[in-house]
Amino acid sequence: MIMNCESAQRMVYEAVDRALSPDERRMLDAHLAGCERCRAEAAVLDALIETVETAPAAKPTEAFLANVMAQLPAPPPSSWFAPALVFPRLVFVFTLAAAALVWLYRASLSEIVGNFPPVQTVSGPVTTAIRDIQAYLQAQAGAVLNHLPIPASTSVEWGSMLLVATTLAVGYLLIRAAENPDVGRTSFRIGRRY
Amino acid sequence: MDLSDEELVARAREGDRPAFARLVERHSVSVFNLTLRIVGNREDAEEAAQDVFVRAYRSLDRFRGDSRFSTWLYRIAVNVSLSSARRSRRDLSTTSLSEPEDDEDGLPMQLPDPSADPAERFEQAEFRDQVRNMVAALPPIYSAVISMYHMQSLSYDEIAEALELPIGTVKARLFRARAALRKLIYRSIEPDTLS
Repeated sequence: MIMNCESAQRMVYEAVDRALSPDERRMLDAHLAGCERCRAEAAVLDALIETVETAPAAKPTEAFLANVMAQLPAPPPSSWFAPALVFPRLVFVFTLAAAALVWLYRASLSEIVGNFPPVQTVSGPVTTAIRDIQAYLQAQAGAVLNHLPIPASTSVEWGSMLLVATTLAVGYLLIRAAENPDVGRTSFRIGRRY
Repeated sequence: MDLSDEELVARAREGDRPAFARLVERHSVSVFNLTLRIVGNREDAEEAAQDVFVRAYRSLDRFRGDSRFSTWLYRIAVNVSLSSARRSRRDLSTTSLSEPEDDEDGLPMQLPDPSADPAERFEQAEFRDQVRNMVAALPPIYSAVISMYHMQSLSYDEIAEALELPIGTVKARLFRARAALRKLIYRSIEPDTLS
């Protein structure tokens, strides 16, 4: 099969990638042997590719590295909860333990709350007004508690459950914070400098 | 001990700046050469290359290790360089990953007559420098593929990954890029032949 110049010149480019099959290569070589124009084209392309590939690599200035490092985000300032972010799982275990202790000793907690000494009061118009407000708030709180499905006397039990739930929530948030790449990574950067 | 890119990346992710500095040292020349070929001048290219590493540092957590770190860097470099070129000297219509339409770049596909034997000109050092500069004068996407394939010795797979293009498209663009470069060469040798 005779190859025309257009096909040959396309094959010259494909030959650069060694993308020709042996048959195609033979056909191209046969065409180039008899076509001065395509032979010249192939020579130009070879020289061109060789020139590009042997180009010496340009080097950036000596300040390049320092400039890059100066532009990197600065480590964030340390914060009081940074250790908690560095050891989030340890903190979570402690919060679980604290929650368990609160739950186990809720009866004692109830005693402690119940054994607070009575508040010393003095008479006078201001203290009377404060006592009225306190009485009003207690009445309102009692009304709310009466709507709950359990007797108001177990409010300490509810408080314990709330405390347990809060500690669990804090632990969960710490874990999430540690899993967040930005928060997690910045916590490790504390105290480090390039 | 010379740590691998992956080990340095893992350390850099934990805030180890010297580890990241080592990565910059290791890849600065190749990234700079890529940005230089696309952007076209040293000053803008160096600024773009710096931006590449800063962006890479900020995005280290998004590097999953599916590809080589260098390929991932080249992807950032191409995007940053194209933006830089768009801002500076290039025409907006040709500064994209889109391929110029046939002849739209002013480089006709028809061959000029090479009877003057331009291949001989490649022997001259000055002309070879001129050729290298012409790579940067190509439409940016052509500069990018020529630089990555012929100068950085990336495979088709790696270029396709860096440019987020199918391999077939990369091959086609490389073909056109070489053709466009060759036409620039002819134009510089025999300006009258294309008029």
